Amino acid sequence: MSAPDSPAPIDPSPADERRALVERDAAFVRRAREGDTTAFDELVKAYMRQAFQVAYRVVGHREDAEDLVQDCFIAAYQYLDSFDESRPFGPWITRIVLNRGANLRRSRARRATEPETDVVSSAPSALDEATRAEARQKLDEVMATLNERQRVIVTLFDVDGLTSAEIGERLELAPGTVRWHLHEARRVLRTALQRFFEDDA
Amino acid sequence: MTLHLTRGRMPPDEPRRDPRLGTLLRELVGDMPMNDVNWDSLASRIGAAIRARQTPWWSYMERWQRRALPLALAAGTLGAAVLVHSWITHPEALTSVPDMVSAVVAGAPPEDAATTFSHTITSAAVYATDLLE
Repeated sequence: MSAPDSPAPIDPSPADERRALVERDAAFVRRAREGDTTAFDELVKAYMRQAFQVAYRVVGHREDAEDLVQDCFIAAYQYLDSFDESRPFGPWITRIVLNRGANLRRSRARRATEPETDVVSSAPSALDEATRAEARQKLDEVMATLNERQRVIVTLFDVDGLTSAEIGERLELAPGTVRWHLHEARRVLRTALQRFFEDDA
Repeated sequence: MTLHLTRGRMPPDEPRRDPRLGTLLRELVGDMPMNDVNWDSLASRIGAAIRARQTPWWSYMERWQRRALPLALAAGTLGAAVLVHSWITHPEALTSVPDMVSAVVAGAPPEDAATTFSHTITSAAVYATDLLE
């Protein structure tokens, strides 16, 4: 008689993963509230990349983004008592980053106007350099008219390649809400850049 | 840890990427410099900043030290003044306890010592009432 087949491993559902994440975060938070800073270190390690992604898209400068992330984790530690343990820690820290980043952005002139990294464009475009520069300037102006959330969403989606679900997870928004913000942001941007895109076409 | 709710699949209602807009945006905001960040160093900095802001238990003593010392000094002076005043006005209220102990040790009956002790307590209570009035 042959041995019974071992059951196929069950892939945990997103709801199960979320629950496990919430329980793990809650345990770290409880320990941190009791003064165990190593537990908070674990939360920092788990969420600093996610916080940095949003921070960088808000302030647009690597060092500023690092400082912002540090500042936000310190604030999170100070206000840890107000954290709702029934929710994951990630969106909470992201919300702090968004709020503080928006304040920072408003109060401080942007340190660098040029992006830090070399940009390699993979999309075909017939725009000459002068037109591209003009389009970038127009885009910069219009981006400034978007609200913080829409600006971050359209950048995370169209530049960083995150899905609406991944963005929603970071910002604690439903994917449908993310898609709506994305649609609105793109509508404003495309309208403003229509002339350049027509030239491109 | 990152949740990948889509598990590598693009949901059917996911908007398509816009390469033209994406390229212009990338030129404007730059790529995400994830590889340029020293994550260990950043985590250490955050941890160190948090530990530096933690309040050690002795800091409460240090914080109260300036206020507590003059208060203790004032309380001590007041107590000494009251003691001297009572010594002058009600010397019988301050029959010293060491005298009672000596009496018991010297062989006085415990009943006598108890009577003396109760007399001392009564005198002290009367004195305290006088002070309050």
